[in-house]
Amino acid sequence: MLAVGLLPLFLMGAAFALPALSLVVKSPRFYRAYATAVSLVGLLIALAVFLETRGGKVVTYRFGGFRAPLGIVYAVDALGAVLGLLAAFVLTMSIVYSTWMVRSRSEHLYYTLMLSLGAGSLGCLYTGDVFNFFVMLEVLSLSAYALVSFYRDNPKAVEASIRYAIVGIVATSLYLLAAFVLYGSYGTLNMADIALKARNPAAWTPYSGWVFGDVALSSAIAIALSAWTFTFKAAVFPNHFWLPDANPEAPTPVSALFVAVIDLIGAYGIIRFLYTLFGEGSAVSALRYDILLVLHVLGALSALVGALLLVVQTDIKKFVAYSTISHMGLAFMAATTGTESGVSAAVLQLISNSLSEALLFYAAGIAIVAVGRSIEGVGFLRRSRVASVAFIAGLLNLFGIVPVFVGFWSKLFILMALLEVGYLASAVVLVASTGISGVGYVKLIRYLARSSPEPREDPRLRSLAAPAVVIALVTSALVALGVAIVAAPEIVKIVMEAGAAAADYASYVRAVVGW
Amino acid sequence: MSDPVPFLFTVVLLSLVANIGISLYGVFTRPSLVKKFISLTIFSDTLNSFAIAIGFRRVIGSYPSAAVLSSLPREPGELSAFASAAVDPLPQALVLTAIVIGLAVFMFLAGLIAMYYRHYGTTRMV
Repeated sequence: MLAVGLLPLFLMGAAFALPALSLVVKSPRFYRAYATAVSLVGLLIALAVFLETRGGKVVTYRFGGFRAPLGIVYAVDALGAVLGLLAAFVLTMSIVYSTWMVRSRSEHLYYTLMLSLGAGSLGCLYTGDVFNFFVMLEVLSLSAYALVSFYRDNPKAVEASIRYAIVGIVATSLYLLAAFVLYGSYGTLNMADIALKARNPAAWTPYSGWVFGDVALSSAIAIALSAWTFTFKAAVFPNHFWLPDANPEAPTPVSALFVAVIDLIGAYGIIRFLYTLFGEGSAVSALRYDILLVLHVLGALSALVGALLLVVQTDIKKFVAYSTISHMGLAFMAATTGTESGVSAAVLQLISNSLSEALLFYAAGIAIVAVGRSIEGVGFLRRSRVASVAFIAGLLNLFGIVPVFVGFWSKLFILMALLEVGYLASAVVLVASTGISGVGYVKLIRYLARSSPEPREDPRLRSLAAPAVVIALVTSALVALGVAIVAAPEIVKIVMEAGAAAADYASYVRAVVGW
Repeated sequence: MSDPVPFLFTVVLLSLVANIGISLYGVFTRPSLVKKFISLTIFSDTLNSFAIAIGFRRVIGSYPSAAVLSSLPREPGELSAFASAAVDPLPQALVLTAIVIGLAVFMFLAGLIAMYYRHYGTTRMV
């Protein structure tokens, strides 16, 4: 299907056409309209891809028409399609929000970076090639470093960007090394080909031939190296430090993308590697349980550390960053149970986390413009009914005790997945981190009830139409998903399909390599 | 020492691994951003050399050749003789891509460091 290969290329092409267009058209209004239109088309294409993958189908696109191990193949299953739709949605929302929030002389470069960040993340989710994943990861990361330092007159932003970039370059380079190790051993970079040969080391594929050397050892090395990258991208303990460091200095819509999209890529990478590539019955199955256990413990630590640190934050952006760390920890705990229901719960948790953390940023962004990043500033939100309702909705969704929101169901699914494999201690961690972070969420709601410091005059505050639309859309998505889980079993089916697709390497291999 | 090639190959691989350790030490412990930057470039160059080493192949009694056909093969045996002596070209293509990406990333990082210097008057990061 052409749309699969088209989407990242379309976003990338549109992104790099913008600086050229800016030579001709010098109107910020045009840049905003252009970026919004491009991201909306991207969202529609992602939706089309998602609809195409329903029913467990794997949709592929061969670049240049070359067959699987020879050329780069994009392969999208239910897992990649759901997360891709989510990423495209949050990207569109962030760009619409930026049209209200970001005012700069180089706005065209801002939207160029936003669109290329979107291209990179969708490329990561859609690609079926280990090396292409690295390229897309670099596109995504480089845009992210640049967006952190977008306000380059602010020394703190430059410093945060340097810190993030240096550690980020090391992390992505380790993934590159993992890709080299995989190539040296499997003789191929195609994910489906690797998945096939990891299950059956005697398999032979045209052009890539047989495996070479000790497959179990090299796969273990590759998993160890790439796990570093993925936990870094997902901001999971002990690689969580960059998120509260880089997040506050980035423009607010970019912060929303950080917690909603970049974290998603890390979790997706772990699921893709440990289920599709090196799942049950593969060359590393002797070590797989231990690898999953280590990542499970890291997820649990991350859930607790995030919840504990969130309570003491006085900067609203750091607050949301630590909240994300805690919730990504929960998603990791679910994703590393080794079961399909665990992966499904993780996918639901990713959807819930991405939407509600982004929502908190969108709502708090109004207070950040008016008062600043201090946590007392959220009192300003009472002046806008939409923003205050959405802020409370986002917090309640993250708290996860109200069954109207999807956050309740994702935590329930995680709990069931943990109990299914008998991880009682992890279930206690889930409940404890919910309780601890609940203290922080209640604190924030109390700040909302108090009056804020005196707001400054800002022309942006005169018209809040664009942020109100974004906030209302994301809030209704949260509630609609939560209600639909009870009312329409279709939503549960989508998530279950995503979980099943992650472990169903056979149809993935058949669709790509044609066996 | 009857066969020096596997021995030398092991030495090269081990020194690459040691190089990764040294460069990471430089990245994480040196306070100067310029030294961090240099260590990072050493780190990425080491990884690229590692990829080239993966593509290496040993040809008994001769040297491995680059995977470049300099003339059109006229006889049937010529192509298979070339294929049996040429190194794997794919790691070189990967390294080429990685170098280009690295160029962009390091240019950006150098620009950031220059901007940091303009703000703070130093390249030491505390």
